[in-house]
Amino acid sequence: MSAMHVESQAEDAAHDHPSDKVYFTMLGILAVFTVVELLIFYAIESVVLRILILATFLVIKFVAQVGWFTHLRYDDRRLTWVFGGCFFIALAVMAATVVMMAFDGFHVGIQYD
Amino acid sequence: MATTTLDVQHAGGAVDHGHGHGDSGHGPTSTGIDSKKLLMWWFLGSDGVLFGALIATFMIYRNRAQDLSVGETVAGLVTTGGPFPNEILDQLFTAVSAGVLLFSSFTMVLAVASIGRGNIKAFRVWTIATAMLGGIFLAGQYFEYTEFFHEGLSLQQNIFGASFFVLTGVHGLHVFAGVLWLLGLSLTSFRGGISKKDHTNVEVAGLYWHFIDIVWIVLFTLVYLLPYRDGAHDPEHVDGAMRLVQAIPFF
Repeated sequence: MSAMHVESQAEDAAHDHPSDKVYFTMLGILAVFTVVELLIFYAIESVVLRILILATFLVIKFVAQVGWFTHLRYDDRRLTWVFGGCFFIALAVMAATVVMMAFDGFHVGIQYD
Repeated sequence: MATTTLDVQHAGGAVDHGHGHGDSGHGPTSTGIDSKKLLMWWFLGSDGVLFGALIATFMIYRNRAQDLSVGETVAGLVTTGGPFPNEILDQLFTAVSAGVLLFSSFTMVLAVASIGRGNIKAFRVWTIATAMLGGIFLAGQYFEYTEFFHEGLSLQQNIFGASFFVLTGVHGLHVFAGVLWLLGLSLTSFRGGISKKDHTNVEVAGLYWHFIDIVWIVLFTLVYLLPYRDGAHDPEHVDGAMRLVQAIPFF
């Protein structure tokens, strides 16, 4: 393996993986979000507002964790499609379950007596 | 990148995107993506569907216990009243647990970065730290479950207990499996079985661990932070905002 090859690989690593500083920053951001979530839980009376803010925070934390900590944003784009596709199916399963239960009036369709 | 790409293209006709990590001990794959990594992402995707189904079930039942009279049957369970979510969930305690799991994701990325640099000593430190943080999370979950049992909440008590224990319990089992995996990697490294060429194996374990944290981020919000109805549910005494929220099936 030539010195040039090794240098090239080192450059790849620098481009493809974030530095420890980036990870530390992400940890800080996620920790702050978690603390703020807790404060929102105790401080905000309005249920609708609380749900909206918590849902927004949830999406931000989810994207940050998937994008940076799993390296997905630095990785092959096809892996994003694999995970994204499965995530879409998971959401579809959730939606289908809720719709079925809603049409059943939220009662399980088994007669016991 | 040019040198690496050319080498791999000549060897197998596939393009390594820098993450195929030709150092995993196998030749290039037809996709250019390391097979172990691809398999793990497929597994995580399918596991996500499992959690999607469990979360949907929990969201449907999260307020049902408060609506039912004692003795009423739902999903084969005869409800026996409380305790209800608002009476027993401890958000502050769970936020600390969530913080512990979040920090473990950070130590995990440092473990993966360490093995990538060939620093085995640092790899051991961060891997053991991650496993210990996972153990602390599990200890917290055990404490929480014990408290709930003492309060009277069990799998059979009401539909909230059933859906809560199944959802968080399945997540806990995932954490337990992850801790065992990380301890196995640490043990292997002490025996000299881990080196820089095993970077992909460690990265795959890291993906699994981050997924566990991702699921907990979702569960923390949906199970602990979103509002519940109070135990004695009386539609006449629900404020306007809550009435609007209750129009959505989940709430």
